[in-house]
Amino acid sequence: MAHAVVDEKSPYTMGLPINNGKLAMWLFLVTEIMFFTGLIGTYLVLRMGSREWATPHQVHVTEWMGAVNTFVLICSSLTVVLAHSAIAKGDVQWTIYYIFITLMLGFVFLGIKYVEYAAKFERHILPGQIKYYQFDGDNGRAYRKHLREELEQAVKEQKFGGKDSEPTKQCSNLLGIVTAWDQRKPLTTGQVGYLEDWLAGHKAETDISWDEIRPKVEENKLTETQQIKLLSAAAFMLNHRNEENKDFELPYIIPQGNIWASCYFAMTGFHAIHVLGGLVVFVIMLIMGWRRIMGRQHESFVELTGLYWHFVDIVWIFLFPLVYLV
Amino acid sequence: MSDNATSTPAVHAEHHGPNVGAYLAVFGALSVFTALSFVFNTMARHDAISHLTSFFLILGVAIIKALLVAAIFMHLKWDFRKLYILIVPALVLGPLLVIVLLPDIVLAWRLTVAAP
Repeated sequence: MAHAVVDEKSPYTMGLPINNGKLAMWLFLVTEIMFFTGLIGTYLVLRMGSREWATPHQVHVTEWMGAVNTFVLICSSLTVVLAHSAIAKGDVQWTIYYIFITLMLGFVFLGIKYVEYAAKFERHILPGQIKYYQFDGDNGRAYRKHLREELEQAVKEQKFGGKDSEPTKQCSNLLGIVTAWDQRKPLTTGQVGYLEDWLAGHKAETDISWDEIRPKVEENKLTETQQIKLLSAAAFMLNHRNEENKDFELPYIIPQGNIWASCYFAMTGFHAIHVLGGLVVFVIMLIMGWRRIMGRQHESFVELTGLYWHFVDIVWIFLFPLVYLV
Repeated sequence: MSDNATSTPAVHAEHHGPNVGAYLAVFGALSVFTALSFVFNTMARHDAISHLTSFFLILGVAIIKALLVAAIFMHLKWDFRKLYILIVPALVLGPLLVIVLLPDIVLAWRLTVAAP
């Protein structure tokens, strides 16, 4: 009956005109599209729904590391298609070479990921671990109080260096600014100069355009929230300036830091698990090659693994700009 | 039956599959586009273009890169007409998932609360 239908060239056929393996892989990939859209979509909605958001610098995301990882995955995508191309021609040796390079590139990706994660753990940029995450409200006020206490202690105990050392002077200057604002006094010309020195030209790091805010600083017309934002930005930039001094660490606000960390680890973590899954398959292929049981009959195996690997690459193509750039 | 019906087009596709040259060209394009998104980002940081412009440019570059990978590396240029019934619904429903959340979570306060 079934043959009769085919022989008569009926326009109706059962199933999709594609082999079962590829169909199964694509069904899986389609569920993966929904899975990652859920994760990335949550990030987008939360981000667009937040008035303030962490800058990549505040959460210690390094653009070049993301860019290198993007390039690494692009290279690995190329080597996977070349492996498929090689096995289609029956060239098992080159297939194994290409798979080996892909595996190594996957390890490079995960290695860089490890370095990035380690930096987050070291700085406690973790879900639920960020103490100051809002410029306004009680959280912002608590931050302002904490910063003031830290600065007082730093100046009094000369925590970061001698009395005349640059870090202590900077803390003293910032303390002067906090004190003036606490007493609702305008800043002196010198104090405005310090802020300018620390903040001007650092919009990318602090999300503050100094030229725009400067008139308000001079006229003492800042809102409480704006003052807290400036103080946090100044503390952050001072940390940056004193990077070599390991003791120097002033608290700063990471706006929506906990939500950022949750999204970051959920998105990049699930992506990394997918990379790891791909690497397991590549290791299986290498073992097959080593035991000389790999052959042209495995073309479909290589092709389908490639499909999965390219999908993982595509997910990163979207994660990279969303997490590291915009 | 399904084997008979499916094997012929699948084999047929192999003859029309891309060659190594096409793969290398796509690899080159992907590298250039990655660099391009970096350039747009740097331009936005130096206020040469607005943040919103850079967002859409970078997103555009990401979509082009994803399409290149899907079309050539994943062979969709040849297989899409056999698979669209799976892929198109996911590509429609995925973005909808985000869009349906926008009115309550994003637009509600952006339209009513002024920036500080």
